[in-house]
Amino acid sequence: MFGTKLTPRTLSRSYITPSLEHLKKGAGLSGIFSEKGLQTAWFDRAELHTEKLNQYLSHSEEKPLESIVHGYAKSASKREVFNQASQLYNLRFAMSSLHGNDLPSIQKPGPKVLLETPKLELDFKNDPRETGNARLSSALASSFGSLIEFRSLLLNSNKAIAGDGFTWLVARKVNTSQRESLASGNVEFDWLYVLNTYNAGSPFNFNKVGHISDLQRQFEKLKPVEEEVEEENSNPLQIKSVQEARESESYKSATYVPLLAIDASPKAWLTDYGVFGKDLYLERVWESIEWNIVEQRLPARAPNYQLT
Amino acid sequence: MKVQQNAVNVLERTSSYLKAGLLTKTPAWYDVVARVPPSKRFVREPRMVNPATDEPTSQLPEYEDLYDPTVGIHKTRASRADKKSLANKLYKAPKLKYAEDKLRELFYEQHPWERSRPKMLVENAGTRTYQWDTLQQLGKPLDGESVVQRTLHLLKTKQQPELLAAYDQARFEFYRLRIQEEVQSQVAQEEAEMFGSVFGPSAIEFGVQREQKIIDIWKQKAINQSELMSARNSNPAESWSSSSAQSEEESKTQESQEIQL
Repeated sequence: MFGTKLTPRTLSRSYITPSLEHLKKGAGLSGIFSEKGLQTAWFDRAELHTEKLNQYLSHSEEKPLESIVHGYAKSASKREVFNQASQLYNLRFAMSSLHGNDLPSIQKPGPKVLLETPKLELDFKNDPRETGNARLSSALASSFGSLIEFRSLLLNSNKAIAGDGFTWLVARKVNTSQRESLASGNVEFDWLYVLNTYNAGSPFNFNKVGHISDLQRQFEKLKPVEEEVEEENSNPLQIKSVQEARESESYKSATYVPLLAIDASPKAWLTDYGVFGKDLYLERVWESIEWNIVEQRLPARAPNYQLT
Repeated sequence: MKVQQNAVNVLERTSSYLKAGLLTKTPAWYDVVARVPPSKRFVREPRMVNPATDEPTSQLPEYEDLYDPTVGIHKTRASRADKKSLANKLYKAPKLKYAEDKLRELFYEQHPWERSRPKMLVENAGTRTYQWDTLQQLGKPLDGESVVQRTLHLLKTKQQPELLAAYDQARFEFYRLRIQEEVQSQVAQEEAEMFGSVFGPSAIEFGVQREQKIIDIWKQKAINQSELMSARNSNPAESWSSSSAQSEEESKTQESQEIQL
């Protein structure tokens, strides 16, 4: 009886597999995942990433996932840790806003869907205007033109991802250097955007453009340095090439607040929807989005002086 | 005029020459012409039905139509002029009019930038038949022709009662697919860059670079030439005087040389 007390306490700490209230083992998510589908889409992956995260961190410390994602994003040596943490964070984020719907159960579509003409009638039911999320829907309407435009952009962006990845709805933080709201700690946004991240990419660290060259430089530093001094003949009047300009100038100061994520990984949809079922999966995902949760994440809108 | 048949009988004549030994070498075209011999039917056949519209090309008017109420009689005999125009039409190649052409014209007038998309002009795989139940086809990129064919399919299968309604449906389906395609190509590029791809210059950029090299050379030449011209034109009197002075000096030196000699 006292055996448990007598075991020596290890000082190591480890991450616990995250859980979400609305997802229960042994049950599906109605209208979107069957029992087995939910197992592969969520439980198995959450366990795997947690296990690996613990393995790579070797029980040394415990930080919140977000701070790992923020801190290690540009580190070459910590990239395994970052990958696992980021994937775990993304997955949890995506699943947290997915609640079921009352559509009939899924039938796997056949190869005919590949060439199928998209239906002209837009018969989606889950509409943030009708679920009483006026603040969100007005923000969507002003950022994307209309809800229909937003929907087609969001779902098409996700559909276009060939491998693993997530499509995010994000709000861009206002650069509040001069504004007093910075002092009070309020976060404000100006526009909403749709953003794709691939594999373990993170919306907090979305500037994908210079990543490869950054990591390359870091790896080169890790290696024994070869004695070779590069001659820098940079001319301030020289126009940069498109590649250079994108690496150095683009997205310098933008930070994004994620509101909604959609999982594009085949691990999420292959079990239930089959090889040809990504379209159907995305339609069902749209029907299952819980707009209340999305709206809760939406920061206050900065006053907009532009005419829209 | 007598019908000229000599040209058509070239195969027969050549064969007999070969047989007789007048020609020793078989001409290169011989087998080809033997396989596809020229037509020897010189009779013009009247075309009674226009293949584009399935209507008769020429028809004498009905008896009722010939009644002239002012005179109160029927015109029972076609005049020479009437007959001539009718006969003319029988032998003329009829104008082919297709609904597709009008649709194509309309589509490309409304979407002029669709013309700027790269298109395969040479096809060596023969014509293919497509099923237009769907707008997208395997082995055919989405373009204006898809919209035209889909419109006709919608009309034929009575899914849409009117031409314009069918055209609109096909058009909107086309827009949907174009949106998808556009996002897809953007995401594909982004994804590839994310995994480290570096894209070289496109075909157009490459062409511009090649052109730029020639232009640079030309520019240098032009600069040199214009400098030369401006030097000549800057003060003509001075340059002439100087050149004449030079020539005078030269002649003087020559003279002095002669004297020395």
